[in-house]
Amino acid sequence: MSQISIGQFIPGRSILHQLDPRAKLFFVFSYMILIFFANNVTTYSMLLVFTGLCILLSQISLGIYIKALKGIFYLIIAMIILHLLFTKGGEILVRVGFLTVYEEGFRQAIFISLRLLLLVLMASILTFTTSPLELTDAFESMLKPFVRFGLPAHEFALMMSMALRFIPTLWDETERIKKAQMARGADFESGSLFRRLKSYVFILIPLFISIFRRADELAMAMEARCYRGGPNRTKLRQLHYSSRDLALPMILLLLIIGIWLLRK
Amino acid sequence: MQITIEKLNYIYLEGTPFERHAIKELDLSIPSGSYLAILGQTGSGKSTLIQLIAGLLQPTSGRIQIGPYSFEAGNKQKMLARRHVGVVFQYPEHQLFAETIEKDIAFGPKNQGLSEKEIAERVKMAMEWVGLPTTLLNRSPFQLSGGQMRRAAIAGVLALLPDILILDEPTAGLDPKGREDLLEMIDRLHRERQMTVILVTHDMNAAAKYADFLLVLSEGSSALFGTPAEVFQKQEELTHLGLDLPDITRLIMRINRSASLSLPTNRFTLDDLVESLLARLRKGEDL
Repeated sequence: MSQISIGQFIPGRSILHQLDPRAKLFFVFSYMILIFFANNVTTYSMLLVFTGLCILLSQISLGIYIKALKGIFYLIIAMIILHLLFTKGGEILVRVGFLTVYEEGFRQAIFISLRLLLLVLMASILTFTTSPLELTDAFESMLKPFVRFGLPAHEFALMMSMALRFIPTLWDETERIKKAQMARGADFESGSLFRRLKSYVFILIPLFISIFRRADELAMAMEARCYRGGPNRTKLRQLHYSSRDLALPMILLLLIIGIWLLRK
Repeated sequence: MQITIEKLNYIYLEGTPFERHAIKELDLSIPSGSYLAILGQTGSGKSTLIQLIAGLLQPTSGRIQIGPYSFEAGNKQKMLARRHVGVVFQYPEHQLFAETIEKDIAFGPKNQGLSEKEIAERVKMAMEWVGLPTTLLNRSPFQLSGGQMRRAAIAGVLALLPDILILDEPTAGLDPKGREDLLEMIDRLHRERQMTVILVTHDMNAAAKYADFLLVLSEGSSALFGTPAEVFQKQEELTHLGLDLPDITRLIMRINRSASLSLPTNRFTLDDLVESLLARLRKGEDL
């Protein structure tokens, strides 16, 4: 493992780390919907300040958040440019040759990129402060109500936790194969884009073979230990709500009221 | 090629909560054409060290000199040194990818820009070294048995004709016969082609039998370094580091203890031991 990406858990003892994962998941989910209701400067500033506060409370350095945002940097730039050029309405702000920037385009460019920024930041706060295991447990308990309609909630959660569990393993495997091929003279760092893409074949084939082998072995190991999911399966780590977790729905309620009153 | 390492440090994920100091202030000098075995518990930094020597990781600080190439934090000469260093990673069969064994072994030489004829020669030579019959040339590597896959993968590295051959636990998961064959083959290449060999192993017997020098790593620094005879004399320190003595050394010590003899402990093959016992007999001493 040699780099931090979106979705990485950063262990810590902050208040956000200690909250119940179900409460956090529900809160973040609702908050993300709420972001789409903000539509003027006041509401956006309110959400920005709140997200900033959460970042502060997470006790994780700002640099790590900035790294997580790197992935969407170009997306944001592209959206800003598209809105500036193609969204019409309101007064004309600038006119250069055949390009015209309207007031509405400027507004949309700012707001849409802010919206994306807020979404990614909040998702990062959740994954940075919640371990993958807690997250899947929360996910499973959120899906529970749908079990009666035939949704295999436990299997979904199991699949999710396995996928999360194997990301670092496969990442290490990729690195190892890459190094083995580099030691044999494969070049992944220079040459044209096409050449570089082509050389990834030398990594992907062994990687796929190893994924299938691992899946086989895992299934066999689970069979051998008589794994059975679903009803009657007990959990080693039980989730418990504490009085602190009550704060989250309260804050959510306040935010909803705030947006309701302040939006146009 | 001579390998010199000075004040080498390597830190994984520096500046994050996952930071780990894998190699600490390591100094090491390996003469050209020698056979070095690296021992140490899991997590002692063995794999990191060989990747640094192979130029696959950039040192955090310190210097590595491989023949005429020197690389340290911040310069890029490691790419040049890579041509002279062949690395066989753990479970090398996991790196196979081509449709045929021939293509897979030819991958390295091809990247070095050799001509078709030279490549074909290299492939044949490498297959002969590892003991794969050339009738397998056009088979898929994935149809081979586990042991044969391992040989094919090692052939892929040998086809580069490296001056320095690094092997990370090459015998893991092989049967005793396969293990013996592989180690003998490496020893032969070492002797006949003057290849510098670096073997990472948990097998004290192999280390004692083949290596000229042993390096025992502990938490990223060198805990013991010397010839097998020197290192295996320090039994207490080895036990403290979680390592065993070779079977043969234990046998000699046992004989010495129960028969009150003082046979030298620097014999690492049965033949040598028999030899020194016979020498005693000839001199007319009691056995």
